[in-house]
Amino acid sequence: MMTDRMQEVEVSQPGPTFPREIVDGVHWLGGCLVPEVGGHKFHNHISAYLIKGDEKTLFFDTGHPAHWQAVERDLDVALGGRPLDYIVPSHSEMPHSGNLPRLLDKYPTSLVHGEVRDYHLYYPGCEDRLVPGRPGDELDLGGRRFRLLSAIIADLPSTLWGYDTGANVLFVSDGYAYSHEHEADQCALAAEELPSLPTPEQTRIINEKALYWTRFRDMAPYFDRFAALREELGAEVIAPAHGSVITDPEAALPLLESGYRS
Amino acid sequence: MEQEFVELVPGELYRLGGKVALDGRISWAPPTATGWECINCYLLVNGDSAVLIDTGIALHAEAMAEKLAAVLAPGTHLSVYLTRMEADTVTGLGAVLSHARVDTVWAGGTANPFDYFDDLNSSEMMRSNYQAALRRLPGETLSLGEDRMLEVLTPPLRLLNTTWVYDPHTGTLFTSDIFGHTPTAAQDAQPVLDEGSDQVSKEQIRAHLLTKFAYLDGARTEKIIASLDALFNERAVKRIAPTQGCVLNDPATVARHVGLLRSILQEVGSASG
Repeated sequence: MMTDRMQEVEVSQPGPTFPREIVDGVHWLGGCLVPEVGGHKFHNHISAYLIKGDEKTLFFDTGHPAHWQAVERDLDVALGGRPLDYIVPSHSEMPHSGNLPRLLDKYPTSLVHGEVRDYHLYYPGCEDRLVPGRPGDELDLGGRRFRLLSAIIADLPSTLWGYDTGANVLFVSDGYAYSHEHEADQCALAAEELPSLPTPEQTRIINEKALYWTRFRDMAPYFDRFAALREELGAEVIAPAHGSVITDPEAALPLLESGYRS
Repeated sequence: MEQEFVELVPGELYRLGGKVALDGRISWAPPTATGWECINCYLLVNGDSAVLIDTGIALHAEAMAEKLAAVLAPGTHLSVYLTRMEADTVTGLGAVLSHARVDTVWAGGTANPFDYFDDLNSSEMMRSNYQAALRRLPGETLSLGEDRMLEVLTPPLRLLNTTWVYDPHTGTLFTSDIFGHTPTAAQDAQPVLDEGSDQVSKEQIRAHLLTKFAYLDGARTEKIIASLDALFNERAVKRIAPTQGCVLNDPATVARHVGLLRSILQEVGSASG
C-alpha cells in the first residue's frame, strides 16, 4: 500500500520519478510546468494516468504536448510492450487532449472513448477512432473496470472524470487542483510524501488562474456531491491532473476545499 | 466556399472560416440544436498592416488560410491575435503560418500557466511552428498600423482565460465564445445577422449560453451584469463578431442581443450563488 512506501521515502533524497506505479496497476505519468507569476515560480502538474488491466490498457488524459517526449518514453516503459487500447481524454483542452494525434499515430489500434464530441473538428480524419461514451459507461480492462463519470468540479462542462475499480482511484481532471512548492526531484511524490500537505493558498492560486467560475458560486454543494461520490464508489485515492496524487483524502481534501473558499 | 468569406467593412474587415453541422457532436451547443454553427476568424486591414483575430478549426484551416493569403496584399504585415487557448480558436494556426507570413502571434492576458500560450510550438494540436505568443494585457492596445489601435479587454463573462478585442474605427467588438448563440438554418447561409434577419429567440440564447457556461445557472451574476453594462456603455459597439455563431452586424441587433443576454443573466442569477 502507498502508505507503507511513503513512510520509507525521505524527502531529502532523490524521489521517485515518472512513470510511477502509484497504486497497483495505475501508473502516474506527465510532468510539471514551472511558470513564473508575479515573480514567483511554482510547479504545476500536468498529469496523465495509465491503467493496466489483465486484458486492456487505458490512458486517462494525454499529458501536455510540451511533455510529449517524456510522456512517450514513460508510456512505453509503463506499458511494458503491451498495446495501448483505450485513450480517454477528460476534455478537449490542450493539457488533457493535446497529445491525442501523436498517441493515435503511435498506437494505431487504440480507440478514443468517452467525451469525443468536437474532435472531428480539431483532428479531421480521426472519426473512425472515436467511440462516444457517457457517464455511467464502463470499460472492462480485465480484472478491473474503468467507469466514466460526470465531473463535479471542472472548467469545460463537457469534462469527464473516471474511476478505476481495481485500485479504487478517482480521476478528477481539473478538480482538486493545486500548485506545489517542491524541488525538481519531488514532482512524482504523492501529496502525503511532500514536505507538507497542500495548502489553501496553493489551491487558491490555481482557482484564480483556471477555475474562474468558482468565484461566482457557493462551492459547498459541490464538495457535498464529491463526498457523496467518494462514499458511493469507495474511492481511496484521488488522482488530479494538476496536483500530486492524494492517497489520504481525509487529510488533504479539507485543506484543498478551504482554498476554494478563500 | 465563397459564401464563407464575407466583407463586413469594405477593404477593412472580413470574416473567414466555415460552418459545422449541429448534429449533436458539438459540445458547446445545446444537444437539440439543429442547423449549422459558424466558426469564425476575422481579418482587420489598415493599409499594409493586418490582424487576424483567431484562426478557427483545423477542419476549415486549409481553405481559410488559402483565402487569407489570396486577399492579403503583398508585403502586408500580418499579426495573429488569439482570444482563447481552445481548439476552436487555435487549430487553424498552423495553416495560417504555412500560407502567410506572420510577424507576431499575440494572446491576451497575463502569464497564466493555464492558458498554455507560452509554448505554442509544442502542440501538435495546432501543428504550428511558433514559439510563445506575446502578451497584451486587458487595458493595453494592439497596433494595427501607425494610426490605429485595437483595445484588449477583459470580458465580463468567460470560462477559460479569454480576452475580447474592440476596434473603435469599425465599431466592432470581437467577443470570442460569447454571443455565439446564432446558428444558421442552411449551410450556404451568410454568417451574418442584421435587424431584418435576426429571429433568434431568448430561449435559444439561454439554451446556448447555459450549455457551455452552465455555472451561470444559480450563480452570483450581479458583477457579471455590471461589467457587461460598463463595457457596452463605454463604447460605441456597432457590430459583434464572435468566434462562434453569426456576426451581429448592426447596432440594433447588437442592442437586442446584449439586452437579451443581460436579461438572461438576471433571471438565472442567485444572490447566494
